[in-house]
Amino acid sequence: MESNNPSPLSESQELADFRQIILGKNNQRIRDVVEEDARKIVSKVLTEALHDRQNTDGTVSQVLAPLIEKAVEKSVLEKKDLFIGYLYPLVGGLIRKAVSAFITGFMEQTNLLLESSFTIKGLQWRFRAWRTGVPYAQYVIRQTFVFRVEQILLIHNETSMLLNTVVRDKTQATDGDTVSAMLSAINDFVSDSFYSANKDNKQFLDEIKTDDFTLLIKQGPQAMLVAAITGNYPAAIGESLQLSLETIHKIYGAELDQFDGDALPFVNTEQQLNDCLLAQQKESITLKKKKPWMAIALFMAFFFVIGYFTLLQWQLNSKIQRINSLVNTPGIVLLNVDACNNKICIELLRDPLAQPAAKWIEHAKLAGTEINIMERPYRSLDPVLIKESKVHKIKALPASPGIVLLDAELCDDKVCITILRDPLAEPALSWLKGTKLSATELVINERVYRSLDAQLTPLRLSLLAVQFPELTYINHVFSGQLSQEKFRQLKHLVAALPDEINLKSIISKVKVFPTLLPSKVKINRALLTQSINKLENTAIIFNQNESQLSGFSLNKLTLVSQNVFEILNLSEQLNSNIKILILGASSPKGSKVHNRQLSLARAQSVKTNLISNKVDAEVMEALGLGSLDKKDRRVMFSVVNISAAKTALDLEHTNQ
Amino acid sequence: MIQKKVCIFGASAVGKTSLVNRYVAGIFNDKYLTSIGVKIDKKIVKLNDNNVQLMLWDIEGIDRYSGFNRKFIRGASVAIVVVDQSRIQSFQDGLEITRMLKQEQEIPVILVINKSDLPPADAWHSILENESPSLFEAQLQTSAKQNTGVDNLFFDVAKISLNHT
Ligand SMILES: Nc1nc2c(ncn2[C@@H]2O[C@H](COP(=O)(O)OP(=O)(O)O)[C@@H](O)[C@H]2O)c(=O)[nH]1
Ligand SMILES: [Mg+2]
Repeated sequence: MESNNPSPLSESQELADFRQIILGKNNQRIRDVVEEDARKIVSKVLTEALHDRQNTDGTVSQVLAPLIEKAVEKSVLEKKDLFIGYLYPLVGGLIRKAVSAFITGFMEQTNLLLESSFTIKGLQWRFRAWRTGVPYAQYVIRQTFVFRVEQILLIHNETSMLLNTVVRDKTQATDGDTVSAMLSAINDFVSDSFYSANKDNKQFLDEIKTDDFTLLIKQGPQAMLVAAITGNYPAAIGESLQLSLETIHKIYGAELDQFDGDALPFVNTEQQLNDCLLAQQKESITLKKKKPWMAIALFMAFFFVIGYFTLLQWQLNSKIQRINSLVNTPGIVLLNVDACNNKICIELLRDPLAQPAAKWIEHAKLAGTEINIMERPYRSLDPVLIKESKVHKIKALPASPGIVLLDAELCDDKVCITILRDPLAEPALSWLKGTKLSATELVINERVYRSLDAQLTPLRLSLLAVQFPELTYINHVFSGQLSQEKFRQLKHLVAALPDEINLKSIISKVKVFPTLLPSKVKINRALLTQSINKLENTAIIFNQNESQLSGFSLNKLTLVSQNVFEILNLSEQLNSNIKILILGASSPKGSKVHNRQLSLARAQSVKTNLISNKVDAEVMEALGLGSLDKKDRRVMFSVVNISAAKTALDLEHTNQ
Repeated sequence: MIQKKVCIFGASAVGKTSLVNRYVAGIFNDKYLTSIGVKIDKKIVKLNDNNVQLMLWDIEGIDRYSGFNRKFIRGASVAIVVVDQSRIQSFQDGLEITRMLKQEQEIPVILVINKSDLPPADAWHSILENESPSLFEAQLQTSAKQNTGVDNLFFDVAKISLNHT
């Protein structure tokens, strides 16, 4: 470019002008272009250039180091949280190493504590733990509990001293004091190791955990609460601890403040601490290797019991169902059926006329189940029951003397009644009037019987009075005189009456005729026969065609009347009933009609005469025989025994 | 029963743990506790009037360069600072620790000069007389090895812990 220059100055001036035109003032144009690409160019070689320069004289790191330090410092200050997050895993690893050493020791002590708390079972478990190579403490925990709070410690923050502790197993010796102090120490250690930079920001451990063992720590302003828990514990324990801790602070604020090593004021915190001794037992503690016969037996027993009760329940339910599906019966309304204490409780309405509830429920076939029936009365409008009520009315009729209701039941829309009825009793229909049922609704089947009902006695006595006209009957008492025979009859009849009345008093006033001796009877009979013969041999003679009595006949009839009296007297003593026939006769002269009339007239006049001689007209019968050949124009007598047969019988009785 | 927290400080290997072990039979083995920096034991001291249970915090490994967890002193009634009379440096460390403690909290500090069975370091007595002014509540000689002065030490600690507060 500089080769052909005509005049150095002018040329150079020209060139400069030219350059200015091309490149712009102060090379602005080319600078613009170069600057435009500089970023691209530098970025292409920056890494390599830094590398080369660092290798050459090492100045790059010298220049950059302070810059980066400042930048990092600024960044850390501004985004502290972020950096803590980055660093935590690194620092945590270091701390964990330290803590784990502590925990190992702590676990070992816990082991010691646990070891002293179990007995025979403990030994068994210890053996199994040894066999399976699991630490004993863990084994126990695994075997027994989902989780269990073994101990609660209340620790004073300032002095790290144990204020109070509760242990699940009270027989167990614990070193809560040392544990408390150690816990505080580790807490301090951990919190210092992480956060020594910021003293205001207090940090606390809240959980120290291994696979199966946890120390759960709740930190309060003056005291902390620590739960030693075996197993996997639920979050609720934390809340429980927190609650207890708050309560303790509320109550013991002043004591916590003034604590100088005397834990006596904190004895009563036991209550709050006990609230935290929670546990959840594993449902079954069975080991797999051995067959757990006890458990199996228990399970079977349990199963059978459950099964048995289920069966009972099922039976009960099916019975309840059967009751519910019972066919309705008139007058019973089922309200409720339910099982109650292995019984069936039934609630129902029942018309008093309906069949008994228990009988109806029998249809459900509930053998062996106790049934409790709660029955409330009501009036049913069921037509069957209305009919039934007719039967019921009849059954409810007041008794009538001499009527016995044997049966009353529905038969074809009517009521069939069977009764026994004494003939002396009132008619069946009159008795049934009380039911207000019409005779058409009733079918009465009546059978005669003799009632012993005392109410009928007066009626029977008055009937006896009819039978014994010789006696007077007033006020249930007979009086008068009877022959021995009749008296015996009366006594017999009265004895058949129910003895509710004084029988003796009924007949006490009846007198008996003196009893005739058999010889006397014979004599009387002989005398009677003699008297009868005498009378029958007597004839009253009349004049021809006359019916009037002659003077001689009149005298003779006086004797005849004596004879008749004799006969009547004797026959009465002999209890025989006689009739004296007065037989009139005429001569054959004259017409038959005339003779009959004449003969009757002659008998009549004799009868009349005898009546005038005080002979009872009743015992005499005047008869006209008409004409008689031999014994004409006369009146004869004949004695007829009209109770001959009876008399003979009576005589036999008397003889016996 | 009254409990008192007692912290035991001192440079490494002065015999803190040996003293405590001599006094109590602890459950915890030292080896875990070194990791956290404290070993805690307890012992009941029978005084005339009443018994005191001392919670003994054996605080690990303090020397001039590594501090201790200041929170451990919190709530303590007495601090014990152990020195090894065979090592002058342990006394220097003990003084340093005592000043730090006093800064942290007003607390009676007992100086324990351990390993009394060993011959004291050169100039031990003069240094002790010069450098231990009224900083200490009491000053005792012990030998954990020969079990001398150990019971006395904790008896005094118990008494001082009760007077304090
Ligand atoms: N000769 C002697 N040695 C002791 C005495 N006390 C402790 N030691 C020893 O000092 C060493 C450190 O003891 P140690 O108790 O671990 O000291 P720590 O670091 O303060 O707890 C051990 O080897 C002990 O045997 C003592 O009274 N006399
Ligand atoms: Mg030690």
